[in-house]
This record gives sequence, structure tokens and C-alpha cells, in this order.
Amino acid sequence: MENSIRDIDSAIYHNVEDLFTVVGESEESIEKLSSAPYSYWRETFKQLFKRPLVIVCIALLVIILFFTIFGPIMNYHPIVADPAHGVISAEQFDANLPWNATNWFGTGGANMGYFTKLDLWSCVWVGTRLSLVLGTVVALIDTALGILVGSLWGYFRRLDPILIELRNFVNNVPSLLLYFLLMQFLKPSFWVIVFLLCMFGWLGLAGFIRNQIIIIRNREYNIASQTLGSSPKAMITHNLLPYLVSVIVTVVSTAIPEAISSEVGLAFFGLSFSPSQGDITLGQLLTSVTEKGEWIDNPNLLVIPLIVMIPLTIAFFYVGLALADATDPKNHR
Amino acid sequence: MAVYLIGYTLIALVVLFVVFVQLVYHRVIFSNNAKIQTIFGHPLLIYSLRRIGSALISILLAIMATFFLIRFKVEANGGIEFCKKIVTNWDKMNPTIALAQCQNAKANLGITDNWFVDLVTYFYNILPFPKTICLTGYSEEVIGDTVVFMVNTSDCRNTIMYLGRAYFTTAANGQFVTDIIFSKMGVSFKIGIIAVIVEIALGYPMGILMAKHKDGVIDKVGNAYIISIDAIPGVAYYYIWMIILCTLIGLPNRYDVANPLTLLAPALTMGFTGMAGIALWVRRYMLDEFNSDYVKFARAKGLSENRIAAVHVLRNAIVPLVRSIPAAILGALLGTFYLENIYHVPGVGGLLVDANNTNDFYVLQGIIIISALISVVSYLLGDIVTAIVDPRVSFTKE
Repeated sequence: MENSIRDIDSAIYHNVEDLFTVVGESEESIEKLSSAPYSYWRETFKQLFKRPLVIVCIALLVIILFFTIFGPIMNYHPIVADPAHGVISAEQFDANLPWNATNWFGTGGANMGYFTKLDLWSCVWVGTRLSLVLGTVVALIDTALGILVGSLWGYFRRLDPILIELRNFVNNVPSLLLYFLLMQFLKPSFWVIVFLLCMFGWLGLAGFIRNQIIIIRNREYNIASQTLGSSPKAMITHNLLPYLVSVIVTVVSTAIPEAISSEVGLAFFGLSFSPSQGDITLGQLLTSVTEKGEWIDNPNLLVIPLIVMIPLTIAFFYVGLALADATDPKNHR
Repeated sequence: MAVYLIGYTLIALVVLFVVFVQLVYHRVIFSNNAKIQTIFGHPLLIYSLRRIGSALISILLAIMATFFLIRFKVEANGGIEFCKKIVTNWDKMNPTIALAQCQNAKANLGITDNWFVDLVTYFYNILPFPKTICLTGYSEEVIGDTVVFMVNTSDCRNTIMYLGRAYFTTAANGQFVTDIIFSKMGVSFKIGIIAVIVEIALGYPMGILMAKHKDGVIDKVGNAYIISIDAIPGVAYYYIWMIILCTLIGLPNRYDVANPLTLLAPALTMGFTGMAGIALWVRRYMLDEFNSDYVKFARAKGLSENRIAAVHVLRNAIVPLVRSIPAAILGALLGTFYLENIYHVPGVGGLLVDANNTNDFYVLQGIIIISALISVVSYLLGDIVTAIVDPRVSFTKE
């Protein structure tokens, strides 16, 4: 107390120059900033890797990705009839073998449809690969369409009634029913499944972006920009979308597990690929185990696809949520 | 006759009500009567009616789209494929007779050569006003070279909404689609209503606890649960619950009419899933309210945290949530596609899959119409419930 009063006294009554030491002039130091330079993405990654769970999740994703690429190379038993590569039929083993030196995940049970007596190690990793590719493609298309339509929808008010009607239509009709009706006419192939999964996904995303844009559309900086004569394109790309980076990044990373889940749903009703043509997904593996109740007697057959599917989807989802926080500049510093 | 009387009275009342509300709102009549203005000219009422109107338009579009999809399927390959399915012993029959039988069966399903007439007929049939639907049956006699058809049966029935008949669905041949769907709804509803009760009874307390202990252990466990439900594919997730409920706890895993205990496993699974969504939103809305000034004021006055949470925060946080309760209860009528298939429940979800596997288009279309109607009614009920719960939206004079 005494000290601080004396300090104040000295600051008031003594010459100001007594309080400082003069170090002289320096041309170089004019250009220097005393605080560390700020980089948006560096700060984002710093925030992201602060969480130990994120590192665990990314490690899980890397492990799964490693096996989807190298798993079939390490120990492959033909599971697909593939005349182009000289394989006439899939290699069959005894039904429901436990894991062993030849079949690292064991073999399929007796009532597993296409997967009966096949090597599960190959099935799981080939299936994961297609599921992942499908999920990524669907997520990219959904996001691109969703951002494009959503930003136009939010910015141009005239589009509102049309797109709201479209959204009402989609909400009023169960999507599974429309899938059923459409699959009466379409033959399942990669792009058909992508089309089915994208059909409604982009609309939800577009609606979300629209709501966000409506919230920030009338902020002062946007009104100022508009008054100064910015074009709609510049308004959307320079003023509105950069504000939504964190939202968009989150949506992309959660769209991948959502697409994988949707494919599992399609496979459950037999609307997905036909495995006999070489397109195997995790969804079909899961469906084949559960379809005829094979898993009740041999629960390990259910556990094997789940052991890959659950960490994969949860890791993607969690990293997505963590990215949402990390990409928000309000949380930086 | 009674059907006609009641039906037309109801339609007249609804039309009168809508016209009356519009007239009052635009102040054509009763512009000076304050009481009638506040009740019937209320903006919320007009808003609800508009929403229902726009929903009806989208139902109309859905019906037309499915109608044409179905017709393309029926007419594929010159209609022969379809005839083969619908006429038993097609190959063994005299071609003329077989074709005539096929035409008859098609006519009973409302399929003629003129698509436009069929569409109009279909709309006439599904519009909810009383009508008599007759099916005709023929017996054919071969006299010399010509085939003579005799009308020998006619099955007539008074109905309000005619959605066509099932013709392929197992064990339901020739039944009215409305009858099948309504009987299946009973089964779905039993499971769905238990699920809704579980969902509400557990979801709200979970959300409240998570909000009260933000960043605590309960919040973290709850968030992990919500994330895992969002992330794990539904089918995989249902099987995990099946392992827990049926294999470990020992609940029966196959639906049986006689044993109500069999309802429990699917209902609990559905409830535990829906609970996560409710908890997520309860938590979010409550945290928003916790930051508001009136809560700080209540705290400054010295009220206990429990009282603030229960009386001040929850009441406000609950307003946006109650809107979804009617939708949840009515949605229970439609059941869930996955769970009903997993547990072999003969509900609407099972019917949908059955109808798809057997190409029974009228059942598919019927489910679309019924589910769309349900969503329209839930809009209206949701608006009404919000008006009741939220004192800021009120039907009385300000």
C-alpha cells in the first residue's frame, strides 16, 4: 500500500523521464511486432490438437484408413467373382471358422447370403473401402450443392417460397418410401446409390446455411458493403461465406459418417449394391449377418463389422465437432 | 346414408370455418367486434391455415409423382408383365379370357388406358368426402367362338377416403388399403406410445441435469451418448441395444400378440434413441436461458439454483420443445421401419417393406398419403400446443 502510493506520487511529482531508460533509436524495430503473428489455420490446428480425444480419433481414422488400403494386400482371399482378373469364383472355406492364420477375422457363417463361407478379413476391408469412398463422394456433392443453393437461398429472398415448398415436400414424405419407389426403376450402381444418398442430403444443408445467412445478412458490415455497391457474388463470397467457414467445415466432416450410416440403412432394405457384382459395403456385411439371425448363434460375426464401423463413424463425427469449435475465431487466443 | 350425412356436414363445417376465418382476418365481416376479431382473426390461426394449405399442395405433388411412377411400372413391356402378376395361372389360360380378366382386375384397381381420367378418379377417391365404391367381378362363358362376360358379383361399400385395394401384399389380397393401414397402426402405436413416454420421461431430466452440471461428469457422459447416437448407423445401434436388452437382460426378441412383454424391447430401444435428441435440445435451450438477465436477477435475489432451474429456466426453455410433442405422438402411429423389421412387428413399417417387396403400389401410395396427412395434423396441433404453453402467444385480448 505504502509502496504503491509512493509510486503514484513519484509519477505525478517527478519528471516523467526518470521512470524510463532511454535505449536510443532503432530503424529495424519499427517494422517488428512484439506479439506473434496470427495465422487463422495455424491457430485452428493448435486449438484442435489441444484435445487428447481428437488425437485418439485421428489415430483411429489413420489406422482404419491404413487397413482399408493395405488390409486386402496383406492377406487377400478372393471374395468377388472377377473374370477380368482370372478369378472365376470367390474362394470358399468352411462356414464360421474362428480367427486363424489363414482367415484373420474368421469366415462367414452358413446363412449369410453372399458372404457365406467367405474370408471376413478381405470382406471387411474391401467393404470399408467402398463405404468410405461412397461417404466421401456423397459428402462432397452434398456440401457443394448445399453451400451453393443455401447461399443463394439465404441471399435472394425471392427464392424462399420455392425452396421452402421443396423442403416441406421432402419433410412430408418419408424418404425411404421414395427410395423404394425409385429403386423400382433404377438398377443399383455406384452413381445410382450416390444419387439416392444425395437426393435429400443437400437440401437439409442448404436450409441450414440459409438460416445462418439470414441471421448475418443484415449486420452493419453487410449493409455498408451493399450500400457501397458490392455485387451479390462479392457479397456472398467475401462477406457471408467466410463467416460460415466453421459451420461448413463441421458439416462436411459430419456428412461423411452420415452418408455411411445412410448406406447401411439402404442395405438393410436391400436397396444398396448387389454384392455379387463385386460391390461390397459395410452395410451389406451387417445386413447379411442379421438378415437370417445368424448373429444370435455366432455373435462374433456381428461384432467384426461393428468393430470397424463404430470407431470409424464416431471418430469422424467427433473430429467434426471439435473442428467446429477450433475453426471458430471467437475461440482463438 | 349416415356416412354421407356426417361426411358432408363435416366438410361443410371445415369449409365454412376457413372462409369465416379469412373474412374476419381481412376485416370484411365483424370488423368492429373485438372478441371475434381476437379469436378468429388471430395471426397464429391464419399462419397455421397457410401452413396446412402449403402442406396440402406438397401432398398433392407427392401423390402425382408417385402416381406416374407407378403407371410407368404398370405399363412396362406393354403391360404383360403386370398382367402375369395379377392374373393367377396366366400361362395356362385361354389368352382372350386371360386378357379380359386382366382388364377387369386393372379396372378394379383404377387402371384404364386413359391416364388423365385415372388421375382424376384417384383424386376423387382420396378426397375425404363420402362416396360409394363398387368392385365388379365377371364370370366368363365361352359360347361358340365368342366369350360372353356376365356380371356376377358386385362388392359395394360406403367409404370416406378410398386409397385403393391391396393386390399383392401377403394375406391381405383384395382388402381396402385404408383397412390394412389402420389395423397395422394399432400395433405400431402400442410400441410408439411407450417409446414416446420413455423418451419424454428420460430425455427431459437428462437435458436438465446436463445443463445444470455443465462441463461436469454428467454433461460429458450425456454428450458422449448423444454423439454416439448421432454417429453410429441406426441399424448397428439397434442391434447393440438388442444384444443388451434381449441377450443380456433376457427380454423376448420376437413380437407376439399374446405377450405384451415383447413390446418392451423395441419400445425401449426407440425411447433410448429419441431421448438423446430431446436431451440435446433441452440442454441447449436451458443454457441459453441461464445466461439471460432475469436468471441473474433471480440469483441476485437469493433464490436457490434448483428453484431457478425448475421454475424460471425450464418454463421458458420448454416452449420451443413442446411443439414437437404432438408430432412425436402422431408419428408413433407410423412406427419405425427398422425396428419393426428387426423385431418382426406386424406394423406399418413392416407393411411398407412387404408392400415394396411384392410391388403393391397402392399400399405404398396409401402410406405416403396417410403419413403426409399425419404430418399436416401435427403441424396444426403443434401450433395449438405452443399457443397454450407460451403466454406470449395468446388467443385472448392483450
